[in-house]
Amino acid sequence: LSEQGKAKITRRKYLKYAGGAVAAAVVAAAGYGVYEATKPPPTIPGVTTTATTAVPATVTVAPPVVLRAISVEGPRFSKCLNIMGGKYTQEVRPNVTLEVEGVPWSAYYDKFTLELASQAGHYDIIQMDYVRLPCHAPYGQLYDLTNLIYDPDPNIGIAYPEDFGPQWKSYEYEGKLYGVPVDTSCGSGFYRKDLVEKEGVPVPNTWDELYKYAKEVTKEVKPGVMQYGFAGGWLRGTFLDMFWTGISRSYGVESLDENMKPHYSSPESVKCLKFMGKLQEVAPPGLLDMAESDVYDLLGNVGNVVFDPLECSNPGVTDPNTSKMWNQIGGMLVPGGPKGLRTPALGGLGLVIPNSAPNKEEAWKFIRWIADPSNKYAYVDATGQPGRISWLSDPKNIEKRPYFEYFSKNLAMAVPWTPPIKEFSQIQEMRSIEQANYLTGAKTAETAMRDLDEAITALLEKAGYYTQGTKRWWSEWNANPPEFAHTEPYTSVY
Amino acid sequence: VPLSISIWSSLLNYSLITGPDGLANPTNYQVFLTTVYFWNPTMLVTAVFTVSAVTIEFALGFLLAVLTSREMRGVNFFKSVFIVPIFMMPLAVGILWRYLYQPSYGIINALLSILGWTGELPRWNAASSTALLSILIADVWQWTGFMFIILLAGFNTVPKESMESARIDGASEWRILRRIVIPYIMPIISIALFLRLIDAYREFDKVFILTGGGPGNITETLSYHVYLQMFRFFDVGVASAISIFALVLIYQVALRLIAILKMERK
Repeated sequence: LSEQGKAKITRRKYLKYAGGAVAAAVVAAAGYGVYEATKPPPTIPGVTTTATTAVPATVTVAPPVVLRAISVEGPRFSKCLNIMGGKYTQEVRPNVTLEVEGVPWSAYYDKFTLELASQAGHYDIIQMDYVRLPCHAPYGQLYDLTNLIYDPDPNIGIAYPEDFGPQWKSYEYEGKLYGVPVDTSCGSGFYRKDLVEKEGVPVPNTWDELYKYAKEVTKEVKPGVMQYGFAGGWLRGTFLDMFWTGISRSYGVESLDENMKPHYSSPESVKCLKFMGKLQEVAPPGLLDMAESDVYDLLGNVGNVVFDPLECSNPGVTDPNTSKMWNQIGGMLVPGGPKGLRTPALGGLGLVIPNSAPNKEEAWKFIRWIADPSNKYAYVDATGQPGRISWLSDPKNIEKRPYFEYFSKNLAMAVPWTPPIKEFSQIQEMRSIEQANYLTGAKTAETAMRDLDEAITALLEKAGYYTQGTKRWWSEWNANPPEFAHTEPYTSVY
Repeated sequence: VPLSISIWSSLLNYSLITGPDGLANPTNYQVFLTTVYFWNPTMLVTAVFTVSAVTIEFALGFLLAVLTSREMRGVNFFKSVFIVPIFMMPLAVGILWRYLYQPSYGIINALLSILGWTGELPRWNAASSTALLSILIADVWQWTGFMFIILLAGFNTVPKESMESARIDGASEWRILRRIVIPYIMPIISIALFLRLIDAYREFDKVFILTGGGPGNITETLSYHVYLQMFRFFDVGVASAISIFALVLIYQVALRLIAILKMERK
């Protein structure tokens, strides 16, 4: 045979064997189809079968899913999500595992900003501050949860959303909801109970009272050992800005008017800044370098600070499981300002789903579950600080975290960080710089605030706000604060 | 390729969030060069920090190398101690010094009190007058060992015979150091200064941890400024433009330094 003939035979043989394999596969598929059509239905856990004959139970095994989440490192955030994730796998969806990446605060914003901007699809859930919504929501980087949240089906929608108080609205952008505020980090007041009792001063109600009592207790308590009346996290950036938001609104400071013109050089704003300067007199040295954790060190184990009137909570000192000082830390309402208002800054890290998330449906199921009222105690036991007002005001939870009682009241009065625009973090840095310029004596309060107005005006002008306009949704929100705290009995679907 | 991308990005109106959007007009170079805070404090702080850190670290490293190059008891122990900080993670160094500087319960102020410091104790990171000094001290602590180890290695290459001959001829130790040792190890000195100069110029981690550029923006170095532009202000275009500017600047400075050192050798 020629070479060509050999090749022909080889091809023929090949077709013969391949045809046989296809025929065998068709027969096998048909057999499997007949088997599937005639087998008994699978049993579902929790559902009673009506079968009277003993048929071996078969469970449909769902494919395993790994949900990846990014959160802030530490208790209340990544630790809480990890514990709750384990509970979810164990009790609700055995095929779903939650992997939580805890990132320190310093790198946290950078990490999730890159994830969302690149649409890389590495994460299914992001624990995100609402002030970052305007950076991502308008550009399609976040998954619109509105329909899911409000779905009347109790297996899909969120039960009692109004229970989240003012935080609920904070995850709304241009009429759409992008997150569920499971965690709250609203500003709240703390003080050392034993020191207040020893000094015989009352817990202050207003900022002026705070200064008065703080001055009374600021003294040398032992040779070379000072006690201070006040401390606050005033480190450049988020910390100083949170304090500024909480105090300035109570002084009647309106950051931006309806035409987006800044008013930091207003008499109220200058007065407020000067008051912050006065507070330095009764504070430990290094106030401008203090992060939240430094303040808690001073309030807790060091114990040389009496009042910390406006701070996000820190389980490091308030959690009975990890702190020896927890029962010495009292909760208080954030002091009121000259306008007769208490205006703690509204924080909170809710759960959002990136639009690039590979497992959106499963991610939503988890978010829906973790926010479910049936987790009222489990969430707090897992070191969480809940966003639901009814959870915060529950007596059992208050027993474990006494500050929750005041925290829920502060949360109800909280005001949002402003302005909710994508230039927010730049404005935050600008505010910090000019405030520090006054607080370190580099500029007068009037000059610092005038320079701040000029810098913000230039920024917003460049960004086109004076030609294109923008929405001011927070004004409407402040005018009509949402109702909160449901009282109806609830039957969990879980 | 990354450099080309960076140069191209520096010409664009480029937001980290929304992506590139045409050529920037005015250019990103015009934008940052006319920014109020760019020259003072950013460039000024970077220059002061770089020059001070490299000078002090070189002087101390040289002194330690001279002292430990002689054969004495316990020298090896000190050699090990001096180089330990080099191996520490930059973030760990920042956190360590943050606690040391804490004005109320930090060890440094406690020691100052014990030593009889009168008046108000320094506020270190929190005061405009001492914030940059705080970063500088931490940097000197960490990187003097680097200068020391390189210079010590250089000292060990100097031929013993040359020094012995000079001693026999009655030359003083100072004269031997100036006329024999330093000229001999000049290439090593050049490398040590060159590497530290580039590294100090790019200082980021200690600023990030110790002061966050504050109080205000008094300790905002060039690298930290680029970080803010990129991750706080989301402006990839301006961040890239500053990076290119920084690269050209350090390249020019390095060329000058090398030229000066070559002239010294001649």
